[in-house]
Amino acid sequence: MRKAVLSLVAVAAIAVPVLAGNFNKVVSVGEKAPDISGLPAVYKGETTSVSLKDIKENVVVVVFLANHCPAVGMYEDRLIEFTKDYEGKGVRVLGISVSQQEGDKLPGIKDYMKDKGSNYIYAYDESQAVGKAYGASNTPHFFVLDKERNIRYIGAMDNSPKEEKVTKHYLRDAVDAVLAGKTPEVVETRPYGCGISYAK
Amino acid sequence: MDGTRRKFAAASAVAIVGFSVVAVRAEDASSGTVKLERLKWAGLQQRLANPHVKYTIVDAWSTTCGPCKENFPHVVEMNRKYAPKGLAVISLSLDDPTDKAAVTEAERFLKSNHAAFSNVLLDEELGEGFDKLNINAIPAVFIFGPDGKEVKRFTMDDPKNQFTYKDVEKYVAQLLASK
Repeated sequence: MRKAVLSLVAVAAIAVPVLAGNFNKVVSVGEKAPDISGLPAVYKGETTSVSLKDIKENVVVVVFLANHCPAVGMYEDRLIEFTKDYEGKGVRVLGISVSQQEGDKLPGIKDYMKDKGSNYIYAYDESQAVGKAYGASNTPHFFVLDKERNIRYIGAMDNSPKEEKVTKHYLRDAVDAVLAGKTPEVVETRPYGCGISYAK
Repeated sequence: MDGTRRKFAAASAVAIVGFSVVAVRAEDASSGTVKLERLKWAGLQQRLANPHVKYTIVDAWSTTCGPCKENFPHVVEMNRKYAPKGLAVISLSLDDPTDKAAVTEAERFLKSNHAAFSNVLLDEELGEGFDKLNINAIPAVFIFGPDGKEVKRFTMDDPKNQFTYKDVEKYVAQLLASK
């Protein structure tokens, strides 16, 4: 027991949380997540629609994606593996494209998911309103929401676009912490990937 | 993707066609000397302090960034218009310096766009340039004074306040006119 207490103290001393709002210009960790409502989506090959209020899982991982983006391609296997690993553990992964390129729209999403074997829900935000509300600047750009749908983590999945060089698993660590009722050690990182262009 | 590439190619073609015949000839001649130079972050910092010019503009781009390539003709045009008025132009590729195919493609792109100015490949770990520049995404444009200090940045990081190259050119024109 004493050991456990000492360990906790040590962890608290080492873990200096990265301040929220360093990289995201619109939302901060701790804030209520902007609503997502009635977006057309693809799941398991079928067209559906998705709303945050209908998701029952305790944790929602929102990730902004774009099929055309090479960085999204570099992370696709990691995202599929993540979704698989957390299936049935109270975590729902929701991909969202806000890109206005033709191949990034719903038919393109359907083809992309079939081609890649993507196992998450992948929605399309034609108005780009959700992307703007989340301050999504990149693809991929991750947001972890807790049971109350407060934002608990914002940023990159890990610390290297090259999978073999990854040493820090920010997304997994954040989700594990939230599932365990704890505060993630790192709450915000710089997203890595393609920039998102918003219509003026 | 193919459609997008075609669009970029078309945009570049239109931009190049827009130059006068004399300008095209001059830039064709210079395209043979277009070079992509590897620099570490520290080397780039030294390059930015340039007492021989009024300002230095840095355009951060990569071969995988569609909007960067689409807008690159604006950078070439700014060099043509404002270099004689004291502006130094640097293109800064954030491509993976260990990826030979990406580096070759960057060189090809710069030559085909007649980028007759300083072209730098940031010779750091992939992704590190974003931390060094403190940006999330590219394209991004920075303006530095002759002392190497940043005077202005244009980024895509805030979805509610993204820049256009028209914004950049307007700012540069005003800056040079006021000095």
